[in-house]
Amino acid sequence: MVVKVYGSVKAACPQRVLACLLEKGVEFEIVQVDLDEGEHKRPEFLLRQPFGQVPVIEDGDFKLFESRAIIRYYAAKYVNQGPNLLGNTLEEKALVDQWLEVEAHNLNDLAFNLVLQLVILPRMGQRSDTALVHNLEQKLEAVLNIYEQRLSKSNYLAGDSFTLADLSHLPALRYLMNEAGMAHLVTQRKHVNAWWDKISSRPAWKKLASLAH
Amino acid sequence: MTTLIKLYGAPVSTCTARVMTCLHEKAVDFALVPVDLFSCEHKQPPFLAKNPFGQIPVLEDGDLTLFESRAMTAYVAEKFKEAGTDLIRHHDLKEAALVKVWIEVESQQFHPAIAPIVYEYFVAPIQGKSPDQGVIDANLEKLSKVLDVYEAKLSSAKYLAGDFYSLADLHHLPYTYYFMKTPCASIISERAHVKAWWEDISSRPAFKKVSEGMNFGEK
Repeated sequence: MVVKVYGSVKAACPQRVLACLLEKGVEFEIVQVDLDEGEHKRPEFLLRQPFGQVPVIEDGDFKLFESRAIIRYYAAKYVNQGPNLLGNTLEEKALVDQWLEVEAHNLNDLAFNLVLQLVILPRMGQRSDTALVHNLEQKLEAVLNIYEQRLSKSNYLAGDSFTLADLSHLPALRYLMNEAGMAHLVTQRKHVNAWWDKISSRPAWKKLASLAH
Repeated sequence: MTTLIKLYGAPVSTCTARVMTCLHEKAVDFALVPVDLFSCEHKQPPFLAKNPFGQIPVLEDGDLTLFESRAMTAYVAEKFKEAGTDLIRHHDLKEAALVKVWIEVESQQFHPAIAPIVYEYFVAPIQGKSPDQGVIDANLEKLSKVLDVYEAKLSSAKYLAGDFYSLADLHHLPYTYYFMKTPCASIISERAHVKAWWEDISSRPAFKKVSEGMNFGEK
């Protein structure tokens, strides 16, 4: 049975899920949700996801939302298929969780708000807040300095292999480096840059990027 | 021989409390190593070697050092899954997934709305500032919408992920505990199912042990 992913192939959180499904070789079907038209805030969609956000997955009768819960589920369900994205030992799994939390709590909001200011507001004809952009950029620089330190000691965030922790960063970093014009945040850091090159040239991500952009 | 888990943090700290509650639920022995927040011990090099983000708590279990409280609770709940309360439903992949959904909801929807409110009432005054009503009002509005979803969910099941207490419920304890001491507590108590859920989860012995130490700002 094909997994239905409700969302848009261009939106960051659905991309997190799609990248995982592609890595694990799990077949899916994208069910378009028109975010520009506000489809995700309408009653019919709220029945699927009460917070009015994408993505949602339907796998037969089983439904899930929250992209980071969905990727954890599929990485566990198909642990023996495709690359192991979870880690092997309890300790490795804990480090994967740690860096997934870092992405969620230390990086995501900064990246999201930068993209909002630099890409989304201008598209909607609104002015961005230059002081806020500067502030966000400085904070993100500080966070990426920590990543630089980590990746100078470790090939990937949680250890020697690519895991969900690295995957979770792909959509936001891609938006930051492309549409938001903030590529220097990555390219000016030797180890972060090398890590970005490795994770963004994985076939699954390249396939998704070609579908999306 | 198993080593004793060390938890670096402070009893008044929400994120430290989150991990301590989990350790108590699993009946796991640990040592709380105090970190002096007021002298900014957590921002200085010896501590930064443990958590480069300069935040508490940090968990040490033998050679493993972890930061991020929700990664710690996941680790403890998994390592000790056969002991104490079953917080992660590891026998059932789908139940386990639903627990993860509501863990993410706490992390992505609930926390961002409640944390600034708790900050304004508890931390800002210590820095000599009055609570920013604009920030409080904006986040109360967001939190109210989130709690509307919780009210609907909790009218059809006793706990967030189903009819079983889980890590998803536990993660809400520390911030909500402090929130209930603010003038904004009514948005919890005016929602019947949310109120009943809160009373249930906050009266669990594991949390009661921890909340005794959560006296931030009290004289």
